Amino acid sequence: MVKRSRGGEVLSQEINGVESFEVESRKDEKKDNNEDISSASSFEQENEVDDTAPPNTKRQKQQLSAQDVQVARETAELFKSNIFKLQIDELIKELKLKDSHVSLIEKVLHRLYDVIQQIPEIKDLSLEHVETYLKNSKVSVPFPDPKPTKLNYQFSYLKPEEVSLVGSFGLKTGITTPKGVTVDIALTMPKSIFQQKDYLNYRCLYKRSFYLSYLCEHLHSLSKKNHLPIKISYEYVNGDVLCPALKIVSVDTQNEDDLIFAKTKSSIRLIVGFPFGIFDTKKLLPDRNCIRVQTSDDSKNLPPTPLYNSSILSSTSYEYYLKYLYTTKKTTEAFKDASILGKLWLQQRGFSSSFADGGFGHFEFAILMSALLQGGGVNGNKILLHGFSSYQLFKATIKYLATQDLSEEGYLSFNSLIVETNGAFYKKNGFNVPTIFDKNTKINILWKMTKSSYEILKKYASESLLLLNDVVRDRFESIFLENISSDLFKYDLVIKCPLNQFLENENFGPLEKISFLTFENYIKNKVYVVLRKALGDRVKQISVNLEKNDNIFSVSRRKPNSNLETNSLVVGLYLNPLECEKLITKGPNNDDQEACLKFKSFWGQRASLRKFKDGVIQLCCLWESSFEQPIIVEIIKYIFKLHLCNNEKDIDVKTSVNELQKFLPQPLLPASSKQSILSLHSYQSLNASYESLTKLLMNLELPLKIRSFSPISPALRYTSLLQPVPFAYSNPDFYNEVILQFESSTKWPDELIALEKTKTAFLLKINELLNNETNYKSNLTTFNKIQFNDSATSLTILTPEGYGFKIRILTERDEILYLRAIENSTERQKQILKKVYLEFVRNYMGAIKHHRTFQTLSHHYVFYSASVRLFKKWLDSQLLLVHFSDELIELIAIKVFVDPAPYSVPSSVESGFLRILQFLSRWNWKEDALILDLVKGKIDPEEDEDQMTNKLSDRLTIQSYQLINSNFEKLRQQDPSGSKLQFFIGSKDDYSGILWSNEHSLPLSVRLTALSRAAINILKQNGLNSETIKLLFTPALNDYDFIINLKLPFKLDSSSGILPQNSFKNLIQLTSFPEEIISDPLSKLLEELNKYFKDSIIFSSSKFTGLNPSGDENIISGLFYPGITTGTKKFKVNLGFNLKPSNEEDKVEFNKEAVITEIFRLGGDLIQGMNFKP
Amino acid sequence: MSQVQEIKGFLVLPVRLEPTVVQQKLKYNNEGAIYHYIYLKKHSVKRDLKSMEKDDERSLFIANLPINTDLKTIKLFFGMIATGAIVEKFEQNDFNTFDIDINLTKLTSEMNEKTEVSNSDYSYIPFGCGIVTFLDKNGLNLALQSIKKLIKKGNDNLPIWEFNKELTGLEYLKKKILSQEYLDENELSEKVAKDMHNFNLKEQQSLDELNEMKDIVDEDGFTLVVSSHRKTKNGIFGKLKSSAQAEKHEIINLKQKKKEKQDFYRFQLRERKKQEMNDLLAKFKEDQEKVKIMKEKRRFKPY
Repeated sequence: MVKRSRGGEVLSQEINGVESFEVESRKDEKKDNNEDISSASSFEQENEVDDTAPPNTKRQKQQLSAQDVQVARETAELFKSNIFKLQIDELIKELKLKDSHVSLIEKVLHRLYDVIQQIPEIKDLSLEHVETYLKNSKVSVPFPDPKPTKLNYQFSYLKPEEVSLVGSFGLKTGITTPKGVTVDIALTMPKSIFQQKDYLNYRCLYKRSFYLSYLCEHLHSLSKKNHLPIKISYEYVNGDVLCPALKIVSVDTQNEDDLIFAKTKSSIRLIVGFPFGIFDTKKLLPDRNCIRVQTSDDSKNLPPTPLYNSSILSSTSYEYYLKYLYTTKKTTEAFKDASILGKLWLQQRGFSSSFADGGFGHFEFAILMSALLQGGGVNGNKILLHGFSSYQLFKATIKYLATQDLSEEGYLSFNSLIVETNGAFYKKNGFNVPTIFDKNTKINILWKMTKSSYEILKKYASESLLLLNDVVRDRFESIFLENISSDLFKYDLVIKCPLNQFLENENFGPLEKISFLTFENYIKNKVYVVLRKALGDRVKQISVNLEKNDNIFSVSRRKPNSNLETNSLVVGLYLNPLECEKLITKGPNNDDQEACLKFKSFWGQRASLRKFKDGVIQLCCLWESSFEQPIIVEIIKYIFKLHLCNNEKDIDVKTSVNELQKFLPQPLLPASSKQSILSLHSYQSLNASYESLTKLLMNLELPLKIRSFSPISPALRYTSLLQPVPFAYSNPDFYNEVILQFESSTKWPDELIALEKTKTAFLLKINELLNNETNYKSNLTTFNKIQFNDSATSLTILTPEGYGFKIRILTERDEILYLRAIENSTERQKQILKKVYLEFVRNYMGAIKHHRTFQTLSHHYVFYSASVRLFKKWLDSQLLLVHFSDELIELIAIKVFVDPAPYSVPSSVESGFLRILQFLSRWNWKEDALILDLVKGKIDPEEDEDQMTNKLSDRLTIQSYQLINSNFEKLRQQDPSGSKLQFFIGSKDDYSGILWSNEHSLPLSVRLTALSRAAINILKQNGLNSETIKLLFTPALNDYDFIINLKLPFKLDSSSGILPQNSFKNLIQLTSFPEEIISDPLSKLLEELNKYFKDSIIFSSSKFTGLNPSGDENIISGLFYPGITTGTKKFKVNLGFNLKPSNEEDKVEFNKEAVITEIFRLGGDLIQGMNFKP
Repeated sequence: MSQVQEIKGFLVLPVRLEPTVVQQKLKYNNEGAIYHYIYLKKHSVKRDLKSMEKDDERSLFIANLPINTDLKTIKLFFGMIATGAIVEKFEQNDFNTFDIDINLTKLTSEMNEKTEVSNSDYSYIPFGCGIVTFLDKNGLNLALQSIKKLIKKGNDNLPIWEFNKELTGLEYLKKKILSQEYLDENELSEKVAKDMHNFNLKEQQSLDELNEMKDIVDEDGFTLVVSSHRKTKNGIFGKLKSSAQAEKHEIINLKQKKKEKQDFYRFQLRERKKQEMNDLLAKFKEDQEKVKIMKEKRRFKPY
């Protein structure tokens, strides 16, 4: 056996630990099985009262009182309880490292340990010696900046005092990750190398750098001899430039004797630490200065060097903290699982211990849990208890992160020396930096966090807490399974600035250097500070990061290549939807001289005095809204120029939001380019016209009194793709449908067609009155959206303001009669009549309910309107809008607003639109129903469940949620592949879930999903930029069997109320209606084609001809139904498609040529060309 | 290729379709003539309506008609292939693309259907099919003969199907839009007035019948009591039927819900508790099952 030091013992102890744990877990399982019922109940009960719940005691399990059963029963219905536990168990199993991998890695570690022991010692080299010693080797010493020149101390390599396994692998909380496992090994340098004052001026760091390079040099040669083929590079531990380490990966050789661990995808990180307690920790407190630089001024006022100090202190404590956590693990059974949950939760949100990933990872989470097991309350009361389950530990820790401010209001102070007593307190008055302070080691555990990353962590924690508190739905997936770290989807707005433009103007002097260490850190901090101040309430959280973070570099280099020239700053913003588009940034009152001076110096020339309505005179900045550019971007551009560039040149601020907003059609209205994207001005004008029309109608002399008007048009709920523009009669949504209801009467005819005739008589009466007595124009039109009911009519009204309305009447008899028809029909008719009934509900009551709900929601979620309009635009450019009803699209789009988990509510057009696409691409509608809670606002987790506000709200209850879900399950039992109905969308307005998605064919739904997936893939691969955005809105035509190119002899853009491209808007003005209003003939053509060929061909087209670049062209694409257009069918007269005899007897086939000729016949002069799939 | 001449009793007549101007210009399908196949058969009605008259003897059922066929195109066509066979009328279904006939008036009315005035004496015609009625029997025979001849002659002499030249392109679509968007108000109000009048008549008739019933005293000496809101006999009987059913249902329910204390005896409590525990257990098993399914669907892969 090889001789082992104490470090070796720790290592072997750990390895034994694996086996003993195995046994433990098996025992656990057994226990679980025996106590199925009781554990189910007690588990849930603890959820309910989480902070105060006593741990699982046997006594409690045995005595199931009636009340316990009651609680268990109630909560078992919530299903979350049991299933959540089971899910966690499964997840942890899934995340467990493979046993074979673990044992292989252990073998490797043993061998590596042996190799390290073989490294010869070397003593007292001067700097020059070091240089000459390493001259012939490929290894450089990774000295931190500034590189040492003349030193009066020597370098040595002595056998490490300890070699120990640290980090998650050491703690057995390692989990499988896509990148592979990193196994951390800490080598502790012997005490004798150091002197007392080595913590000053990089001295210990230089010594370590040499130690590391010497280690590297020898590992290189020795590992080969010991059959451990490896590749070594330098890596900054957690991105800390003061702390390089060795990253070791396996090299695959074909030699059988070699120990190769490439298949485990793991890497080993050799971290060199300092002996624990070697330096006076008080001297290294975060507010001390430990880098003495010579400045021209008094050298006593040197700034503190918190990063430097913390880096040195944490280098002394790797093993110390491992032991600390290990002790906690031993005392708390579920600690390990909870750490795994925490690690996964953080990882899915892009957090890790690394600077670049927020500086809060598995280690910090575990320390926090340990501290909370000791206390953590204001009085030192324990937040976590040792008997908690993994779920409870996790939840309570998340709750602590979400609700306790560790930055400004207070901080957490604990003592890692005492494990058992109440050693942790929440103390008031924070340090203005995120702080969890260990009194023993004097380390701020959160030293790698910034205010920015802390804000974001807190946000995630509070969002997850809401999800954990949700009793209606299963939130497991959103909490643990979805990765939401992609910049593309998590922010509302992303801005990129190339770093090099800041270089010349920034004074990054020695003082800045010692407090921030790198220019990147310095500029990140500065950008954050400037933006925080400039954007104020407009943003919720700001993330400032670098596009590329190079932590790994070749051992032949002292440090990684500087990429300042090519790297960019990535600023991610979470916006406050209510504030972000405000025109004015308010400053102090004019009287407050001092504040005014500050405000002026910050805002420069932009600050101006304004008098407000209430007579107050304030300093403020006025911004200009624009259709394409959010105000935020304008402010950022201005303030960057002012503060980061000395006002000399414009800063290059790259954002794609402008490109995206461009695709929203700009209305043909005065000053529309100056309207914010959130402006609902045009919709409000329409609303005013609607109000005056209904007022007028109310006062008409009619045989029955009008009870109500219910609008059902997208434009009246702010979701129409085109904004309403007066006299824009070519807009396909020009007419706004309104349902009129009279006071109840028994006189309505008791037969459907006669009822429709009576309604027509009423409409004729109104028509007469309007035309004769008012300046409104009206006429009657057919309403044929309900099959077999060909007598329905509606009244078209043109208002003097230039808007169009279509009024239909709903009576209390309609529904009874449709239902009666179903009752009286034969079995075969019943199927169709049920569809007819659905059509009726869709066109009347369903539409009314939907409209009411969405009108409120569009107001509440301010970015919903613009996002859903852009989504409609996308659908239209992909020729899909014609296939789906407005209501269905709006329901799909509202998902990411009312149920944004795992994100927060989108607060920009960009995030709204992208998340809708992402949701669509992920929605597996065969297996999952979309159940929407169509109410505004969230529930407050702190609020008591019994409170009136929560009880009175319209939220879906568990019962209704389960009802909808069971409706879905029933449906899928009959139709498992979803061939009849794809999108099941249930809500309080429609428990059946099928109202709006009944009419689609499978290929269209499949295409919608496929297109959204393609779009998301493009964005993931190539990012969001003007090219990819253009690609998103370019129709994919290759999949269709044929394309018909159409052209109208007149343009429809301006008459649809769209600002034509490349034209001066003041040249075109819509002021009147033509004699007869003819909507787009191309949509009529589509209708005709569908009438004749809908059973054999799917036609798609863009609904808005006016939106196409030329304003008069459009295409209709055709896709043959494969089941019908290929092969032969038995002859029947009602096959429903064009037949020609086939060679088989009595069988016919599809006559394609004839159909094409017929299409040409219908299209006539409108057809410009037709292309077939080659 | 040997031409199929008959299929399931239908004559198969290929007709040539002339490519449109645009089609020619785009040179689509200039390789040969384009054929459309129509299927013809003597029309026979299997109905026992009293109007079993000569119509049947002189009408022709045509399936798979080219689009936009109307009386004018039919007249033109038969004028061309069978001079002398004069077309009297042409009926088709040009709107109902469902493969079924549904009359909402019939289905929603509770009135007696005896008085129904049907304005067309044909039953349901499938979409894309039509019935041509000739002036006399001879006309039909003539047409059939010449069609048979044409079929025999084969490819070279097949007739051209003349589309209605007006029903194409922009003008046609515009007209279509206008006819739907602008209904003639006078015409409409006349029609509504007429229909409402008819409906009222029918209703009155039905009401009269009902009133008659009121006056009749049956064998047991009872008379029918009729509410003033009631308008039809069927309405009452329909209601009676359904209310009888509902009553039955309720009685059954009532029987089940006997007045019985659920927590009086100890065993009841015990049973109930046991039941609850079992439920809980079942629930737990169910959840386990759910998780198992989720696992199979690989729902626990976080990456």
